[in-house]
Amino acid sequence: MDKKVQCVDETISKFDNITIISSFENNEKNTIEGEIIVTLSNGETLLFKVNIQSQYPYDCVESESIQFINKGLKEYPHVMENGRICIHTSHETDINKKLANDFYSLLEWAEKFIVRKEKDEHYEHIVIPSSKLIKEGELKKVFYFTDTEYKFSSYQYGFFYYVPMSNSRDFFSSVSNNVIIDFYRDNKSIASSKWSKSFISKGADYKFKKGIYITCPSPPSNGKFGYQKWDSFEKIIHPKQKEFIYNVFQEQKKNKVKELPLLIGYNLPKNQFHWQVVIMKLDEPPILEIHHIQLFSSRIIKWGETENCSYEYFFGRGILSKQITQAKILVIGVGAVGSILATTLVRGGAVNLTLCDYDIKKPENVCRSEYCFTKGNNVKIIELKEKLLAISPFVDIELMDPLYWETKVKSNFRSDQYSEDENKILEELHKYDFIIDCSTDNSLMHIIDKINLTNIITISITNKAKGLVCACTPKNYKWVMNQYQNIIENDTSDMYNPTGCWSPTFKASYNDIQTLVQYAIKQLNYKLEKGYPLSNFTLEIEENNNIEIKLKEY
Amino acid sequence: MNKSEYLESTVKTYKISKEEDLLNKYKGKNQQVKDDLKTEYGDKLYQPFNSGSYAKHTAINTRFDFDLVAPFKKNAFGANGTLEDTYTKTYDFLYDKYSSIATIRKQRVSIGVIFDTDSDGDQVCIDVVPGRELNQDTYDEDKNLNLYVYKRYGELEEGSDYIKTNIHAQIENIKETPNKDKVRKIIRLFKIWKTTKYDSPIKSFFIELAVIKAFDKQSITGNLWDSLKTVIEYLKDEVVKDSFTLIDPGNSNNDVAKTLNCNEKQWFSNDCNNILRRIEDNEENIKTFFPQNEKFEEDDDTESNTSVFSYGVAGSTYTQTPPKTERFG
Repeated sequence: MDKKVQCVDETISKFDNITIISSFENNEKNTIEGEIIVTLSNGETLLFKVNIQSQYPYDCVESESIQFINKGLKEYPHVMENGRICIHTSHETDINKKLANDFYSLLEWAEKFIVRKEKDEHYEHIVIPSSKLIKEGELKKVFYFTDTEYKFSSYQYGFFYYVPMSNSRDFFSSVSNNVIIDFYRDNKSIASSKWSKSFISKGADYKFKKGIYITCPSPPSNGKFGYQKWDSFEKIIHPKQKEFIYNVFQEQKKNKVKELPLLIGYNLPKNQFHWQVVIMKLDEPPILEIHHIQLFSSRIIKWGETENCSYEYFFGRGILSKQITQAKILVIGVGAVGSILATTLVRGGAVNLTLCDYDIKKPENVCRSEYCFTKGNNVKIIELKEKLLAISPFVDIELMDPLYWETKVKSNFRSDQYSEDENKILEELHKYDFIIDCSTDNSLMHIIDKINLTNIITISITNKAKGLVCACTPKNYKWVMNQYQNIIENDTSDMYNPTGCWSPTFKASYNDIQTLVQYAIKQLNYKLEKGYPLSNFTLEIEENNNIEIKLKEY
Repeated sequence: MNKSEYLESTVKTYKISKEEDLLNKYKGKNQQVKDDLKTEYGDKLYQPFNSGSYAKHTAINTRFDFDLVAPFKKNAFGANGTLEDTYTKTYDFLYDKYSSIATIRKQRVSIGVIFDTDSDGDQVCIDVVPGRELNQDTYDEDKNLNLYVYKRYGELEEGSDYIKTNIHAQIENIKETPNKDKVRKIIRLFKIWKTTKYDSPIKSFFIELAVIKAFDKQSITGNLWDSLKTVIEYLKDEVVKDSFTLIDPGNSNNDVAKTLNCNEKQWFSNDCNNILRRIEDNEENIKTFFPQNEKFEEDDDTESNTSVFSYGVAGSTYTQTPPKTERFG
């Protein structure tokens, strides 16, 4: 007998309430198959088909490689469309222990959800039948939605506008990615998606497309599975909504539009609103009119996919403190440090950034910053803006006059008496909650000191990224200069000086710079989140067989 | 580097006598306000006198602090005159007298007289503190005064609109401290450190009492750095303790330690720790925490200082090696 099969038989024999009714055998695909009957504490019995794949006891594609299947249990929690019970047990390499754990988990699941009829507190979205999704080779449409200020209620309907954002691929088909912009009723916008203005204006380069939406009192599903056929919609749709869909459909037919997306919205627990999407093919009308009565057809529904991109959901897995994300931030200098910092802020949820730099990105900048080779020689702030908007649809990015500091500020603030221009500059700069100076320009740091900006953070590193100096209290010029002059190691004798280059630059890799910049951002974020006052600090790399980073606060 | 010598020379750069012209302007305006008050109120007013850091010899020259106490008789504004009358009538008088040449501002317990900037760009500010003796004709004897707390800035509990104090006792407190010269230097050093912090919640009065307390509780010996270090160590450990109090010598019910909340005390303790640790790491950091007043900095010919300026100045030779102060990013 196969050794694995023997283990299965032995394990099951130890359970009083599990009986083998179809013996386990190893088939041609090296999968062990058999059938069991489980007797529950209330006397009920359940039949399960058991498949044990060749990977067992390892998991496979993040799933257990043992499957318990009963198609009659689909309505219960944690049961997939094909009747497979979704259990997860802890990692175990001993096959006997693993089998014991998995059979025990099956019993636990059955007792919890069938005998005790417990419900999960955690809400799970309805399952769209995979067989009803786009087939292999077809173009899959995905719609990305976010929050609106407007609160939808049941039985509303109208048009929505969306822009095609990009095309991509999943493993089976091409994907068309579409962003929902706003919702209309009677030619009036009633709800605008809360994407950033910068993101929407980027979308304006594309042609807006139109779809229709309805809102329903419950999800379009029987239990946890989405409707399979159109006629199921009769249960949740108002006659007026049906009439609207029918009329729009007829109208679009005249315009020879091939398909039309229909968004179906409904409330979720915790005051959230969710959308699902159905792709209506114009040659497969969902509603038929028979003797002036409109009826849903019994055709199969073609579901599309939606993705909830509310700000909270988008950054739900990790976000910086509100003091940073909600702040208006100016980043001066977007070289290696500045571009890494700006990217981190945006990935961390920052919504309002202004960039200032007069430099052009060259290929040699790419290896240690956030820029791309394929964009060629490019104005740094323009390329970075594009990149940041590609990361977050919630960030507004403004570009400051690249020579603002060089021509306006440096030349204006020469005396202690402020001129009108100076006051105007100060007014402009006071709009920012934080000004983060990554320019490494000592003259600029001096002038900032002079004009007494209180919300300034200055960040720079030493040659070979042995240390980072972060000043975050006003009047920090002297402190920073003293650090470089007397405190922190900055060996400038070994610079990178390639052939044909007139100006040597510092040596440091992306890894060297990222390590320090991320630590510095973490420190600033920590202080701000806790409500502690910001203090100047340095980071120093210490090499003692291992790498250590030492933070020294002032 | 001799840290003590550095601190001694730092304190010198902040001596108010260095700002002779400005000091004379302050003295002049101070006398003018004193004389005008006396002329206006005659016998109703005891002799006005200076309080604050100038009187205590703890002032530093980056921020002048001239407080002028005007001690009124109990019946100065009539038998039924209130403490509030003392404050508002003094404000009215100062407004009538100086509003054409100064801005008059109601502050927590004082009235700010901010004279317009003169042709040298200097601005003189005198804070007049109107006080009233507790009982008729008792001031000469006990020096106690009640101060009106202008409500808009009032920190006192609701319903309480005055504070009892004895400013003479506050001034005498420092004078009577053994080692008063060293105490004053250390108070000045803390004030210098405070100029490096943004928006510090620590009041000068807190610093004064805290340093005096440290001298009182600890055996503080050695040079200026040794003494400062002991004071900082003491405050680092003690300020966060619930039992840490700073009793106002002018009013035993006033605990000045309470002007900082728990978080602020913790931050101050952290700051003290950072000062000690960073100077321990590298003594050059003493310049970071206690920077000299650039305006009166004495020429320092040390190698480190000259090299800051040797790169890129007119006449210097071009070199392929950037200076140490070259920052990267």
